[in-house]
Amino acid sequence: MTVDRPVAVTGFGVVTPIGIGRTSFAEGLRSGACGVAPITLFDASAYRSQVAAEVSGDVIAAARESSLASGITVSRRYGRAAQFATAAVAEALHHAGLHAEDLGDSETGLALGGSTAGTLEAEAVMLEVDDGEGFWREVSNLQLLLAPVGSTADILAAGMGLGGPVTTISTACSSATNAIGQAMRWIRSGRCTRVIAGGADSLTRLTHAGFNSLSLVDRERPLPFDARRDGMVIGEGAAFFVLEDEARARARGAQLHGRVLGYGAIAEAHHLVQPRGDGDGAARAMGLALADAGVETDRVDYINAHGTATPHNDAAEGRGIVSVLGRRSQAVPVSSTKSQVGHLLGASGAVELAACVVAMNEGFLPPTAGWAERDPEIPLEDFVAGGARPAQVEHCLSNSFAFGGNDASLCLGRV
Amino acid sequence: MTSSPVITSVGLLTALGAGRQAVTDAWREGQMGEPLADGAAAGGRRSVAVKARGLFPEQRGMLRRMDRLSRLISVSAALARDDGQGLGDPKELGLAVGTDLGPLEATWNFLTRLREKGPALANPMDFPNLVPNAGAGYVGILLGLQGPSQTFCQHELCGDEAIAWAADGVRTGWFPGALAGGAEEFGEVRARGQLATRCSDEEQVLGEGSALLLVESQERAEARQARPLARHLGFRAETVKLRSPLLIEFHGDALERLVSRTLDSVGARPEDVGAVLASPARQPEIAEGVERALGRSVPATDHDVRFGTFASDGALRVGLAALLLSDRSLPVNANGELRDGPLALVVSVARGGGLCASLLGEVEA
Repeated sequence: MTVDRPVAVTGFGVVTPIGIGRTSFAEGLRSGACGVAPITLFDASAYRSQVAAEVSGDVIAAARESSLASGITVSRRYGRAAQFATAAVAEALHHAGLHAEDLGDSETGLALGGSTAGTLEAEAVMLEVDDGEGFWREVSNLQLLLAPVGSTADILAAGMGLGGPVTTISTACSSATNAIGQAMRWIRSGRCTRVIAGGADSLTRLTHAGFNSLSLVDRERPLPFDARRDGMVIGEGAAFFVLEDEARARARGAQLHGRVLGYGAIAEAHHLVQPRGDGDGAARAMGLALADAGVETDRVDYINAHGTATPHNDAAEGRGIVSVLGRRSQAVPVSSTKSQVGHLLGASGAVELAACVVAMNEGFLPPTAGWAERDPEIPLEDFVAGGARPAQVEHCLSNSFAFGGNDASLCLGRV
Repeated sequence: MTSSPVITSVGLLTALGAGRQAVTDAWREGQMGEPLADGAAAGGRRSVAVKARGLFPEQRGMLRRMDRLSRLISVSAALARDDGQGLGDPKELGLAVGTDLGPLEATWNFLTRLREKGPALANPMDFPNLVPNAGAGYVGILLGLQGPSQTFCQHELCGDEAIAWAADGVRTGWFPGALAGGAEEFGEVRARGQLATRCSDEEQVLGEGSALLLVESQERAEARQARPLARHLGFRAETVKLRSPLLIEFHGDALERLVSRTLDSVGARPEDVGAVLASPARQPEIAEGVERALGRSVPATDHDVRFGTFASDGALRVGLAALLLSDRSLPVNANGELRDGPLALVVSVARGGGLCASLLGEVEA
């Protein structure tokens, strides 16, 4: 039997290049901060681009209060991505008024989107040895165990003492959006009453080298939707949400910060790397999310775009938005949070959904930082240029499109 | 139970052979898989590329660009396409692939080149293959699948979970059908890594392969006159807290509870379970936990020594369960035991404390 239950956001936590924690992140969004800077995590002098949006500051110290309140230990032991993930989960649980001891039942699940897990730590060994045999001599068992993408979820599940289903979805840049969509489906169907959902990724040499090799990386800063755009800048961080069956959340007196109303996911079946130029894949994902939410296009107040700042993506996404919203596309503000935090790859959808939750609850639109020059190839009007601006957002879309043609979109509603 | 999704095609690429008929024949004869030390898994390393070219003769350029894991996935997708009554309209189908380690060998090779040649000479053709969903992306393009596409990576649960995702999507009306399963490649990096971390031991037969099944609604199957092999009745996943969060442990009590809850969730009786396909099969805690839940000893497969093991082999076991349920004369194991009930139970235990159970049932005549 299919059970359909409204899904509420009762807490969230973030670790981003423009701020660790909800308050800092919201301030960063509002001020138009940009987290892009020269890479410090590794020697990037031989790369085409030498910038990235790294998380700076002491994540463990920033998460101390949440960690104590939620019973989640945040440590460096399990690597950078896991550190981001545990800090964001600790904050999300604290925000939701939950403690790890509340999560041992079989109806509380975890859905994580990611792509790098412990790659940063394992590749460091690989790149510092003389040959492959050297790797096997130098690498630790812990580094090997942390390398598979599912390991971050293992650490979170153990830290929370979770009793329900745990999943890791890795669909490149739409991983977290798909994980949150899966979490929503678990709750709607009655499989879970509560799911911790989100994404975490750290910067790695592997991804930086890969996107550099494809000439998809800007050497200075990302300029989504701008005529001068020349590619993405890779970022890192995490965002996690506590999603709950709304009736159960209300019954325990939880504060609601939004509703995940709809989820659309499709395969473009077109090209492994490039989106369809007409934006058909993007349009189908957005259209399905709206249909799933039961929200008409004239009720969409804001779109947080995938907006990578690569020439192909932004033009295709713009056409896709026009295809879905029609003439209204010229009135709906569209911005890209990647202009501020970079492209967090597997975690990007989670951080961008967090930007939507902030927009709804704090009454402002996050900007497309740095936007200045219109591109005639992008048929949209309002990119929230010149800084954040006040707005009441009732319904919005958050888009994530990925290698493999994995497009996904979430529709969020204000409570 | 009449609305449960059905499995109508299987695409199996295994150490026992490629395709439903070859695998069924070899299984019936009690054969063992080709030893991996000879590089003969899945019919031999070179032959995977040859098979792929034969199955997609118009797409040789794309096949050349693929890494090995993507080729394994593509071949099993084509075998599912060519099995039974095919796939029907591919545009409406979803796709789910489970893989724990993803394109590990290609990733190793990319990093090796990065170390030896520097970032300026990183190959742009290689990088897109390094995302775990590359295989699903290629299959979507090759077969024109345009529904939702997911890639699951939660260790030893990922193959079972991919199929359960497809069944859930059909059951809830999200899409009318999906190709779903799992794949893992074998290579030196995986073997050394698993041995170093004791995620396997020297007695374990490491395997590789790919299994993709077509899961669809009964209505869709009937409309295209496809004969269902089995029903996917239900799935449940839970997590048990471990002493070390990154390792694998076996908790018979937790498994007993999980199996009982899975049966309860679909209103099934323990006495109707006629075959068990559990992994790791030779762990006594697993066998005992399942036996306690079912109240008796049930014929169990010896798939692990015949196919070899790989993290996403839950998909292969679900496929095998469908074959056992469609043909009562097919033995459950090399001892010739036959299933003694209309249901098959597939159980997987994972690193990190994950457990899952899938329940499949016979299709009424």
